[in-house]
Amino acid sequence: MATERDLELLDDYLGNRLKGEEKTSFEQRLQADPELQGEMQLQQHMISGIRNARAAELKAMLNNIPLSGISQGGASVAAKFAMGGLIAGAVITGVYFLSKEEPKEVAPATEKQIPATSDSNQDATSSIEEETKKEPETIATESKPIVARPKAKQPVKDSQATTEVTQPQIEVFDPTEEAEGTGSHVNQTESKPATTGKAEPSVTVSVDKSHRDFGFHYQFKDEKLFLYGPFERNLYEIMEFFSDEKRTIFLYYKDSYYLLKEDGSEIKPLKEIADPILLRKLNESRGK
Amino acid sequence: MVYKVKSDMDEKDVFERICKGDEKALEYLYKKYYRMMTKLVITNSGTEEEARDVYQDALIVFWQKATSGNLILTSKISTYIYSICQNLWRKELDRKKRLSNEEKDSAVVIDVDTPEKEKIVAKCIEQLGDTCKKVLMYYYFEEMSMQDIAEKLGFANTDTAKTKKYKCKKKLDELVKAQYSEQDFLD
Repeated sequence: MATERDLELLDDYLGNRLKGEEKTSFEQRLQADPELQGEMQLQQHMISGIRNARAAELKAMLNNIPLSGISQGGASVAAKFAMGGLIAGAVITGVYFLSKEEPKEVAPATEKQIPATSDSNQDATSSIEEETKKEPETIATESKPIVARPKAKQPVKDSQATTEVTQPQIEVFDPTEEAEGTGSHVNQTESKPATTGKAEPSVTVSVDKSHRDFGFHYQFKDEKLFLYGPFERNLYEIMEFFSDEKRTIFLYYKDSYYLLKEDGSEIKPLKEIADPILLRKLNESRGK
Repeated sequence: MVYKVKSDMDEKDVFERICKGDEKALEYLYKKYYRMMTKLVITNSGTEEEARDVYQDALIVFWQKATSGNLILTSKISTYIYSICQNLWRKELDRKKRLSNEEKDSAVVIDVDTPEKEKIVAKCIEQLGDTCKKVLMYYYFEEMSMQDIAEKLGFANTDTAKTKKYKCKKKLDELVKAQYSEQDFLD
């Protein structure tokens, strides 16, 4: 029968804590002692049983985490379009009321908060490009017209483009892209014709996903708005507010708002708005 | 007035919390990357259920490595977990393929002894008290130090943790040995 000391040694041996000579001599003893071998098997069973039980416990914990609010990976293109339509309706209604009732409150707030925001998005973008190794992706996207209307914000919907997947090999995409809204590895540029329908557009938007230096940036140039970054997979909206002849434009993207400053034609990083009062106003105007 | 942009938990902060065995941080990661990780499986002939399964297993592998101090992260957390998901899904696809070949060959050897013993051990673990279970799990799965176990379970010091671990292991030993003898007797 194994002694207390043997059990301790076995525990250390199985936990890979025996080193050098101690390990060698214990292994020699093991080889020569069938009873000790039997004890080792038993200990192995116990340890793997404990590990399995813990893994099962963690798995059960993960299974109990509510996933409401997390969009599922297999959501259909049609469903995304439908969602875009719903958001569009809500935003138009929201802006109608906002522009009538409280246009003066929103614009000044944005003026105040922007200079203070940090460049975290920009930093994150560059680090992701460096870190993630990407294999060529087999996704082709279609470009689409994006238009913002005067006196109202226009939800801009990205057509969830046609996706071609090569099988049976595992398709690799940049995992950081979706979670953090940065990185651009699809070498395609979306530039689109400006107008849709009868509305007179005030902002024409082009999305450029191919610019490696500007992963999450924007630029006003020739009265057009250029968005740099991986915007093709998600809905984004351009929101315009008018107050005292002054126009303030916001971008809504992945649950965050960004102020788009029209001064200058340089490419600027998109800076997330953090001011809770302004965020509340913007959310209200989107009909959240 | 200064406005600071910080919508997410910092990457480093999350990793440190995971290393310390903070399950809330694990929950945070699970939600954060759920969509991107499950997409890998779903777009490669897997079902939603398989995708969730693979993602959970990958996260548990990551958790185990991080808590045991065996992981030096040189990439983003998401990149690391993603690569585990890829490996696990490749293995699963291989397994499926092999299985279908085996079915054709109809030469499957079934080992009935090991699962039975595993069941016995699992049953004995269930008979331990909650604290005992946690001590043993933290020690053998998370491979936490006695210091960390003592802190996590509110023991006075590392000696208390050591004694507790010793007693719990001994208890499990006795339970399992008794069950094994019974099984052998029945056989």
